[in-house]
Amino acid sequence: MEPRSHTQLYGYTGRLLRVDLTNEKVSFEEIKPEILREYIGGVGYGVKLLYDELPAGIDPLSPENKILFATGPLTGTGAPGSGSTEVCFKSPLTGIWGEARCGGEWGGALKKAGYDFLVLEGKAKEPKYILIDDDKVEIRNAKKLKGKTTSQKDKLIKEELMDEAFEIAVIGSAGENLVKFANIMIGGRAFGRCGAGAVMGAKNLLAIAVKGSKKISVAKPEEFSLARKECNRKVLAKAGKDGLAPGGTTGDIPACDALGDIPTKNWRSNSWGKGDELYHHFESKNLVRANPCYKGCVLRCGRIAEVKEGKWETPQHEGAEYESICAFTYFILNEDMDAAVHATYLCNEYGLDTISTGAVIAFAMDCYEKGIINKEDADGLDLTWGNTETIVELVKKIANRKGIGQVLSEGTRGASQKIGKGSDAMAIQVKGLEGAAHDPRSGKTLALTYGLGNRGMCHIHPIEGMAYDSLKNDFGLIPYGLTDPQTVDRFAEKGKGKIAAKLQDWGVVPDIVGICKFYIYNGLGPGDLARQISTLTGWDMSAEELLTVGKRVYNLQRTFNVREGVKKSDDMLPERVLKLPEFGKYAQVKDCEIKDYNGMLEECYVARGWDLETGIPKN
Amino acid sequence: MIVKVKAFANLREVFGGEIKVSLKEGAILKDLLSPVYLPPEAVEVIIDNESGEIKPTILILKNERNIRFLGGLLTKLEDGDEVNIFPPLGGG
Repeated sequence: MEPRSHTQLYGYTGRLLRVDLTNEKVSFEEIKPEILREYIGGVGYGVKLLYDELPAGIDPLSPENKILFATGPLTGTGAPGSGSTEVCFKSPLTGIWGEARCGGEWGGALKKAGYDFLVLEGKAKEPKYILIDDDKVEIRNAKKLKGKTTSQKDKLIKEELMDEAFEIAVIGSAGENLVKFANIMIGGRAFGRCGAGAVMGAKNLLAIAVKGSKKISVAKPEEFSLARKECNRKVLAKAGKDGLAPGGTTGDIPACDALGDIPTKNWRSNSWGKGDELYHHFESKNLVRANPCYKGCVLRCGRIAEVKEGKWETPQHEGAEYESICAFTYFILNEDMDAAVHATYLCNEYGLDTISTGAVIAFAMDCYEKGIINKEDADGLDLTWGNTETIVELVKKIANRKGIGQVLSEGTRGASQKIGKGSDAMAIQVKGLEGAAHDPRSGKTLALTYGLGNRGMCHIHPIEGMAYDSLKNDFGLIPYGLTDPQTVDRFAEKGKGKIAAKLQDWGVVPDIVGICKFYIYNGLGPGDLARQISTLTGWDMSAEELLTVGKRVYNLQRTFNVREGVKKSDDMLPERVLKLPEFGKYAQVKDCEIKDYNGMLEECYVARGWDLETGIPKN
Repeated sequence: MIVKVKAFANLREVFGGEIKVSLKEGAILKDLLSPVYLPPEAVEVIIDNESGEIKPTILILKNERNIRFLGGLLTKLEDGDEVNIFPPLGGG
C-alpha cells in the first residue's frame, strides 16, 4: 500500500495539525521522520514537542500553554488495545508534566482524518469548538454549549453537525470554571487526571469533534495482520475469553481490599474489609453490562452502570470503574454504593477527575474530623465521614467553584496551602497529584513508582509496581533483566529500586505506541509490540530499542519536571502512606510498614542513571 | 483446628465464597489444597496436575503473607489462620 505522505511513512499520517486559537489560524505541518523513530508517538512525541516548545515557568492556564492530543502508530489500526489516545500539557494542578489517556475511537478518527497529532495554542476570544473532518478544519462558535454538561455538549454538537459519526472530546462546567483537576470527556470515558479540562477551558475551547475517512497505511499488511492476531490470541489465553467483562476493574475491589491495596479513610488504612458487600451490591444492583470502549477490544474493561431508583437514581452511563468507585467509597468511608455511582456519574457530567475529587473530599473530611475545618467553613455542611448528601453536594460545589468548592477546586495541595493549620498532613499527594486507589503497603515497589511517577502520584504508570508485587506479573520482562517477581516478597524493600526502574521504562511504552495498558498486563511483552510496530511501519524495531525509547521518554519527562523546579524532596511520599495502617487487618502486619523509603529511592536513582543528590538524569 | 479459606474474583464461582475448614493439628497447606477439603474444581484451578505445585498465576496469602515465602505447600497451618486465594487480577 502506498504511504499517505511523501515522507515515506507507514503507520503514521506524517502530519501534525496546529490550531492557534488566538489568531484563529490552522496550519498543517510535516513531521520529521527521525523524531518519530526516536520518540515514536503518544507521550513520547508529546514530551519532545512540549519540552522544545514550552518555556519553563509558564502559567498552565495562560495562553502560553499548549495542549497536544497524541496518537501512537498503533492507534486506530485494529492492533490489540489500539482504541487509545493521549493528551499532554503543562498541568495546572501540579505545575509540571501533565498527561492523561482516554480509551475509545477518538484517536483513530484523528489519524483517519489525516493527523498524528493535534496541537492547540493561544486562547480564543469567545467560546469555540473545533471541527475536524478530513482536510476541513474549522473553529466554530460554541456559545450555546457554555454551561452544559458533557453529555449535553456531545448531543448538541452532533445535532448541529447532523452527524452521529463524529467522535467528540468535551469539557464540562468544571473545565469552563478552571477547576484545577477538570477532565476532558469522550462519551463516558475520560482524559481524567492532571487538569487537561482546565487547560482547554482556559483556552475557551469547549470541544473538539473529529471524523476521518482516510486509510492508515501499513508497510507489510499480511505480516501486520498475523502479528495482531497472534497478539490477540496471547491476550485471550492469559485473560480468558471474557477478559475483564462484565464487572471490569470494579470486580477487583474485594481482592484488592484483602491484599491491603485500597487506601481507606484518606490513607489512614489500606484495607476496610467491606470489599465483598460493596461489590455484591454493585454487581447485583448497579452493573448493567460490559461496554468495551472501542470495537474489537477483547479485554472489555468498560461497563454501563445505573441506580434504578431511590434518592440516588442515576441513568445508565459508562463509568463506575475501580478507581472512581474506590475514591467515592474507601477514600471517604462511604458504604452507600448507590451514592458512589451517582457521585461519579456527576463527576463525568461536570467533567471532573473522579480520583482527585474523591481525594479532596477525603481531605476535607479528615480536616473536619480534626477541627481544622468547621461547619461554617463548609457552608453549613456536615463533613462527617461517609455523609452521602455532603459528598454529592461537594461534587457540585467543586465543579462550580462555589463556597468551600472554591478552595477544594485547587486540589489537596493547593487547598492545604490556603487552609494552613497543619492540613498539609492530610493532603495525600506527590508533586500535587492526589494518590490513586492502590496502596504501597500492599507491595512496596509501588511506593517508588508513586514517588517517581512523572505526572505525580498517579495510578497509570505506577500500577506496574503493584502488579509486580501483589499479582506477581513479570510483564514478559525477565529476559530483559527484571527479577522474577515470584522470588520477591511484596514487603521487601531492598532490590525494589532496580525493579521499579525496569517497570517504569516498559510501563510508559503503551502510552507511546498508542495502545491500552491492559494489554501489557495480559500477555503482551516488548517483543510483541516491537513486532507489530515493525510490520506496521516497515522499521526493524527490536524489543530492546522499544525499551530504550521508553527510558528516553521517561527521562525526558523527568527533565521537563526538573526544569520546572522538581527536586529530590518532591519524590517523597506523605508520612501517612509509609506508616503502619491505623486499623484493619494490616494494622498487625508490621512488615507492611515502609521503613527505608529513602534507601529504595536512591537505589532507583542509581538504576535509572540519575544523580543521587538531585535526582537529575545524568545524560 | 479451623482455618478460614476464601477465594477472589473469578475463583469465587468455583469456591462459593468463604468456607471454614476443619483440619487435624499439624496440617500443612498441601493438606488443605486437596479434594478432601476443597471442591475438586477449586483444586484443579489452583494446583498443576503434572507437577503437583501451586500454579504460578495463583497467589495465596496466609494471614496476609505470601505462602511462597513461608514454606510454599509445606506452610504450617494453625487454628484461626486465614487463607486467601487470588487468581490474576485485572489491574487499574
